[in-house]
Amino acid sequence: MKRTKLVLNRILQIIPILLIVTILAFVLSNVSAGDVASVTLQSRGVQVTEENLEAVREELGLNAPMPVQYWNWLKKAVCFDFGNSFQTNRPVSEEILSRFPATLKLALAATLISLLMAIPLAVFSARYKDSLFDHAVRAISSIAATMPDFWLGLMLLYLFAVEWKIAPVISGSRTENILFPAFTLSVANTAAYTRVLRSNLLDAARGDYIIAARARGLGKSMALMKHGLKNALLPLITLVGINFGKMLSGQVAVETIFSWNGIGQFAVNCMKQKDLPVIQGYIVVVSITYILINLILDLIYMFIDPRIDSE
Amino acid sequence: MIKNTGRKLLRNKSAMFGLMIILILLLMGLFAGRIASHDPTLVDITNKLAPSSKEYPLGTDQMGRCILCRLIYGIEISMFTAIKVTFIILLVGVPLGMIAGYCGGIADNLVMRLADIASTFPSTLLALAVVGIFGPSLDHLVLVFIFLWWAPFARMVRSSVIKLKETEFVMAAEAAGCSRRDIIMKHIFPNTLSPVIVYATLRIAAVITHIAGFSFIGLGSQPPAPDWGVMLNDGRQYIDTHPGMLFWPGLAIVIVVFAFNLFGEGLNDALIPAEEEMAVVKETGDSNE
Repeated sequence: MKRTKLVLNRILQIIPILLIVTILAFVLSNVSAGDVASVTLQSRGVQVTEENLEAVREELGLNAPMPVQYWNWLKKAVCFDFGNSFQTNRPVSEEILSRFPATLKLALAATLISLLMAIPLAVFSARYKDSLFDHAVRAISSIAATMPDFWLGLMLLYLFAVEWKIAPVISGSRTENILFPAFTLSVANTAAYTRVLRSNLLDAARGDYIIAARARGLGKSMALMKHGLKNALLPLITLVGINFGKMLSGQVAVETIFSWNGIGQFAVNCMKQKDLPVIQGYIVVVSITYILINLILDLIYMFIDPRIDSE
Repeated sequence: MIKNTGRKLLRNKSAMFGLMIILILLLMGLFAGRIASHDPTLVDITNKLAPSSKEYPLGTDQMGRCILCRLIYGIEISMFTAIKVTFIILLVGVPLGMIAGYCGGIADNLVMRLADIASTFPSTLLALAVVGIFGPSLDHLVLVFIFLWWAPFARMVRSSVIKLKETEFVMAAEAAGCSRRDIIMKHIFPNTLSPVIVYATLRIAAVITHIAGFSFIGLGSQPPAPDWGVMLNDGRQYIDTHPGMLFWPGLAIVIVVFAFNLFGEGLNDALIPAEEEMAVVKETGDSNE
């Protein structure tokens, strides 16, 4: 019973956040770029005269009071209708959706690389604690954690694409070119996951169940793998999930460096061109994705954590 | 206690090394006008993309500006700004954490919900929104960092305060009739500081990376400011002919960030007892965003 209440509570918590996000996105359009009407006129290539301005204001409903405008905008936003992009004149939802797969692919690949590197590194590092390998892993991960992804990306691009000509300079969002951008994105996360997982594993290794498993005759490595890893991985889920959500908002620097046509790069370019409908759409879509991922993570946690019932 | 900590810190070679780099760079930034022989924004097209020479040790950029001078002036933008921003973040986060931890109840709930929102919001998203409203500039970007990054400090202070409230010396002070203000300022506040100082040092490094990163994508400092991120962005077009334009600003960022991290980790060893160390590592494990 307690669990149902918690879950409901958690789901209800979304509502105020959604309100804040949509208000933020809406207010943005009214404050930035000055007068919305004149920006709209300019984007259509129509001369800005008092007469035309009045017509556009009427057309866009800009004469109505602010809350009414917000309500009208929200009604459309719920159906993912954010109007047309000023630059391309295509619907914003189409523009965003067409770029979302590229960002999603990159986020998935980067997460996969991070986990594939972090899990074995952490396991060996914890198994052979204070060995040369352990020290090396810790030193490298603390350097990797400080490496800004934009610089790492630029250096990789220079070395592999310009000097050695192994990789193309322009990735063009093609899957076969995903390795370098994904690797660049994964490095800092790999370092964080390795650290957290290693310290979780060391905590777990001191747990009674590991001692029990060892007493039953399981080898040190087997005990750690079979029993320790499962328990050590759970706390990592949240971290991985949150980072995944952040990557879905688009990794502007990496996308720019590798010419990866994702939503982050697109949104920033539109920002510079004051393409308001796109920015509004971006903020709403990304926030919702992000809120949902966080919700799912919390729900997963509520279902696997047995302590919740007893609290 | 303080003596002990100081001695521990002095003996920690890597922390002292980090501190030395930080101090040298701060001095360089402070006296940039004396050290750098050229105006960092002075355009001299006839001398563009010059190779390294005695006058321009690292060469010049696409506008004929001295790269080394720009790097030195960049210290002010990145290090000074980051230190200031982190200080403001502390001014917001620490009192909020104290209030939440000491008062509990509605205040606690409110602060923690706000902290939840702040700590899960992607910084790119908020940066786009804020820069969209106020226009691209470093000052506006800094607002984003303050808005998002007070939360871990508030959480840290709150949990220390809650623990401290139950300790015997605080209860004794309460029983002895000390005023609330005295209890908070004399008994609780000083004891919450260690993890805060450690985390703040590490956070300065993160602010520096983020300032450069956002300036690189055009949402932070605007050209011709000698921001390291702006310099990297300038260099992007010359990646095949003048990779130095990309290499040096990036190296500057890495050195500064690394120095703050070394120093922060040294502080961690010196200030925080071994059994509590894990907690700080875990708190700071929540990625750099």
